[in-house]
Amino acid sequence: MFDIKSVAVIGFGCAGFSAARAVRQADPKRVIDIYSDTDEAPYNPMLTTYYVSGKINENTMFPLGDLETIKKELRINILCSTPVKRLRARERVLELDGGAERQYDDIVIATGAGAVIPPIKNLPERGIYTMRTASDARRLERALDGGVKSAVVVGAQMVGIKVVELLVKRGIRTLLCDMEKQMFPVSAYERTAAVIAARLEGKGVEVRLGAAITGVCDVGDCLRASFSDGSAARADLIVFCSGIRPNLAFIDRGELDVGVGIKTDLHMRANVPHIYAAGDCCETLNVLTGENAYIGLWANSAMQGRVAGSNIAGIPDSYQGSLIHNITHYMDTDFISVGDIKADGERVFWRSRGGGWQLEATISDGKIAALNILDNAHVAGPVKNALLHRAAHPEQPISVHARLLLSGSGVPDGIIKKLGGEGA
Amino acid sequence: MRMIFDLDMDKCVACGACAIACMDQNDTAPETDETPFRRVGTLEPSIGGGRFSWLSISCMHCADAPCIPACPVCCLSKDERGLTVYDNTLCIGCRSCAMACPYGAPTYRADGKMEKCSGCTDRIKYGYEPACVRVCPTGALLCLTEEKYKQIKPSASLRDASAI
Repeated sequence: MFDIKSVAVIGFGCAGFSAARAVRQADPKRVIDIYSDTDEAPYNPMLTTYYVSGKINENTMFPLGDLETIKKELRINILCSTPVKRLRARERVLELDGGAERQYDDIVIATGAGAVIPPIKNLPERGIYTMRTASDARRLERALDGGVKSAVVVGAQMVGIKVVELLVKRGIRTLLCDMEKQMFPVSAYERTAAVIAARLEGKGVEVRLGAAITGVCDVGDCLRASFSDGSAARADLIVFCSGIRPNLAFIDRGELDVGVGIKTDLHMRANVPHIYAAGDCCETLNVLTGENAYIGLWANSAMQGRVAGSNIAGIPDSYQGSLIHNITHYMDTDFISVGDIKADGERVFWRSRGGGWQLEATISDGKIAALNILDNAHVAGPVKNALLHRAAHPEQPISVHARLLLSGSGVPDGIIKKLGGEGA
Repeated sequence: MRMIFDLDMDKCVACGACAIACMDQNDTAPETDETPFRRVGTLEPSIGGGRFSWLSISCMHCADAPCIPACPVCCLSKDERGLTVYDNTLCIGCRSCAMACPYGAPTYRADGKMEKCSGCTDRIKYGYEPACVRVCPTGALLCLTEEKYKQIKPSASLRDASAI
């Protein structure tokens, strides 16, 4: 008699889907149970702002297909609206609502991350929004369709900027605020951030930096937000885009090793046997530092899920690690950030002849450790891959095509060499 | 039957014929700020090291193309010949493919939609070579079946030089 093994996947976003698919591709018989706290197909959080802006329809937020199709194609059990209350990792047991317990051979934690609202007392019940889930997107869209004249966006980062863009497109008077003193505080240098802020102001957005939101009250016809710098603002609604946090309330931190997310090795294994983690709830290798880091991105989630699923199914696979990188396009601006901008080192700045695009970088030990690029998406990939390449092969120069693309864009030899160009 | 694109860097003289043929084939209009899919250039060695290089670069139709999983709306895919093709109907212009591509291949139209070299998939379908390969006077650009490519793989392969 065959012993049919079972796997539980907790959470059903990109990582959970990719893990389930990898298990099924390698093992046609294994029982795969998905635990989801919603009744929706996997959605891409990045697409929520594009949906509200009208660039895509609702279905496009779910790029992996609808639940029924996924269920049929992968032959998996999807337990909708069935959150896991507690995970006893060493026993590989899930505790569910009503006291039910289920044990599995292997478990993948793929619960993603949720939007964080700063701790503000007595937040009003109306007019407060976040932007992370498909449901958040529908809710904001309904509000905007109802007629909104003014808005405050809290958090001058990647999500906040896209929310600002869609509000401005609708002709809504918008205030963007952040407790930090600059735009993109975790991914932009001060000088680049100042250019970004000035451009936004030029497009009619009020930018209030160094101003943490400290209170919100309902004043009848609108909301009144107050800030740490003593200022205040009135708006019809407030959208909190102030960051995300891994959804890990159900795990026992005495069992699982957790930093920002669950710490994993390159096989996506947690510190407890048969427990894996993937996607926006885990940490894994940052190739530039050699240490674990929290780098939540859709493509990373897909690869990490695939690696976890393959290994569970007995097909050895490993994740190559990643580096911190972001690209965003909004209001005629391309902003690219690669590496850790907080790294120590000398700062260099270069602007193309004619001012079409610019680059700012940190040089550590004679090499570029991180950089910002404004308005040249074409070099983003070659530059990111040059840094990945250098991390894997420190002694080899960067590829000839990366050099050509940079050189053809006018970047001086000195900067190309510090990226790892020939002769460096 | 998988097709492989490559450039023999020992044969390329960066004459630009491939870039012109590509613009003609794809009706690219650089004068209206459209970005050509193929770029040509030379790299001069710095004092004390390096070699002079001539290059022609566009999409290399990578076997494990990183642009495909990077696209949040699944615009990119592989066709039956292994060429990386696209349907930009759903493209949101987010630039995720640009961040993923080591070759800087994705370009963006004025309306924000991505376009790139599709390997002249329609020409290949009807038995023609891609436009850039067709006009290359030195035979530096190659688009061959996997079997044929293995037989005559260039020693100065851009694919090898770019292996990351």
